[in-house]
Amino acid sequence: MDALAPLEETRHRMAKVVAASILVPGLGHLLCQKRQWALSWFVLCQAMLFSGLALAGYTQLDYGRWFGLGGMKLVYLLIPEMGNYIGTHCAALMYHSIERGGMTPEVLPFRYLGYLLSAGSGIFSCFAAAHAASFALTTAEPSPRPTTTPGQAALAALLFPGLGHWVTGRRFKAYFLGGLVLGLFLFGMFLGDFADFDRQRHPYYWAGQMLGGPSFWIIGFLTSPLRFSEVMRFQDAGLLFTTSAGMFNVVLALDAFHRAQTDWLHRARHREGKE
Amino acid sequence: MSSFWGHALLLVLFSFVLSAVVSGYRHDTKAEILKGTLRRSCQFFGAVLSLGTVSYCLSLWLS
Repeated sequence: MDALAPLEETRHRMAKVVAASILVPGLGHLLCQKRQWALSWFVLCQAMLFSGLALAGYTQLDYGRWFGLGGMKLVYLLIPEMGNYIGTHCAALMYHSIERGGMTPEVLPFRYLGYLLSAGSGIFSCFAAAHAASFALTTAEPSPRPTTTPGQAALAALLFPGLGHWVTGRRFKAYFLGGLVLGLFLFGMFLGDFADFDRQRHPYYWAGQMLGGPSFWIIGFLTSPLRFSEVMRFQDAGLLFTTSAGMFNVVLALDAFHRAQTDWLHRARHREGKE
Repeated sequence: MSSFWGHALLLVLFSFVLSAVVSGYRHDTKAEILKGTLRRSCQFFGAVLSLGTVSYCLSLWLS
């Protein structure tokens, strides 16, 4: 099946919707007249961000940095929370890490949960953008026989590696690629003695690990009390594997979105006889 | 298992997964994905091994 692209006008609309969604989760859905989705994404992302920040004593802000012109603060760079751009920006203006008050995050029992929630908010915001872009596509080019939308495929891919391909009917890709990505992550965790999923130890690698979605987050949360008992021989390789697995999951999600979009356009244009 | 052979084995594994993901992104059929995975695995493994060999030779020459 040849890859089809949305019409130029639709592509521009999708780009606008994505930009709006990154700025404020739900705003892209609002532009597509999907008010319930808009409210749901907005509440979910902001609740996750602010509850996560509170649970971790706002220590996430220690990993971020302001960029601006002169004394003016323009952009707060905090990966991956800044996927929820406005929320993260406001939080950075309003709150300060407890470490600035002389405390240490070690005293906070739910800080790992807090890190997962706030970072999950940024990642969900990015996938909300894909979901909203999907509405822009399906509204502009409706299909006579609705199937899995690109947004649904991308969200499924985030929920579990390979699930995005499964819902579009690509069983081989789902088993093969999903299995390899999940296997790479678990093997990497094994090489790191299951203590490699740690924001305080290596925040940038952790941001990559978080891209694996809720299945990775749950494993990371369950293993969060574990600590290295010794320097493992292949510990660095384990870290590379787990981080790469998270990034590979984003590639799978992009592919699932693209394949679902092609399927949708084939059905929509077959009806119109444009092929 | 020595560190060298351990790392070589890990490189084979990583090359395979990376190649599978790239091939899965490029192609949509089982045959194309498997063929592309094998080809790209060998290319990536060979490239990293070549760079490692060049680096090792340079370190011997410079030390």
